[in-house]
Amino acid sequence: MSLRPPLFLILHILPSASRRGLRLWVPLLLIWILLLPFLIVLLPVYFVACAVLELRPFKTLGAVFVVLGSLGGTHLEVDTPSASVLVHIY
Amino acid sequence: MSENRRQILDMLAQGKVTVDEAERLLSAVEREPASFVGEPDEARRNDKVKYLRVVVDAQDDEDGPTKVNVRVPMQLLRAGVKLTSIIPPRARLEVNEALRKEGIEVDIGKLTPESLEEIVEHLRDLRVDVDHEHAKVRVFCE
Repeated sequence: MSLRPPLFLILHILPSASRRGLRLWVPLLLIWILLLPFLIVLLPVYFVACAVLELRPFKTLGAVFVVLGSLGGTHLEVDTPSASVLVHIY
Repeated sequence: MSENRRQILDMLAQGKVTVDEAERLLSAVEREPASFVGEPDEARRNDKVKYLRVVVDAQDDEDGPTKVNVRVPMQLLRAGVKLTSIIPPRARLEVNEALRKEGIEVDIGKLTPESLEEIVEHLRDLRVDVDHEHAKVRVFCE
């Protein structure tokens, strides 16, 4: 099982009515790095929440990490006359 | 001639299916990936099921054609098992009770990666083909 979080997200939203649409190439790796300081600051809150909800904090973190690592390869494509949507996670 | 095609033609010869039904079945069989034809079962079973695919091809008279293509990694399903292990005991009891009321005798606390692998292995043979006048839906694992 891969423990690597997803690195890139490709998002295309193209309304057929207009030529312009949204084409995003999101470097998720940079977002994880930017979010890391905020996540560290929120850690005490996380541990308190886990204590209140009777969750095991490290096991929960591990499970979330594994779920994130499993997202790679997800592909969603919807093509209708009114719009096209493409989401691909690498 | 593959075994599936032979069985379909046999059923047609015996009158168990009509010509239209046989044609649809043959089309469905032809859509199967070529690598599975004649491949030894053991060799195929050594390849892990990687993705769950859903393909929809719909045609609406008013809105026009709609295509949906979804691919979900099976790893996500396997990772989901890990999430059940973090459910608090109290919540787990409630979930088990709710499942029991629906007639599902499953203890989600005892769902192990090994038992999930068995389910995923059986999903390998999952093939759902819906052929409707306005829509074609395929669900399969690859």
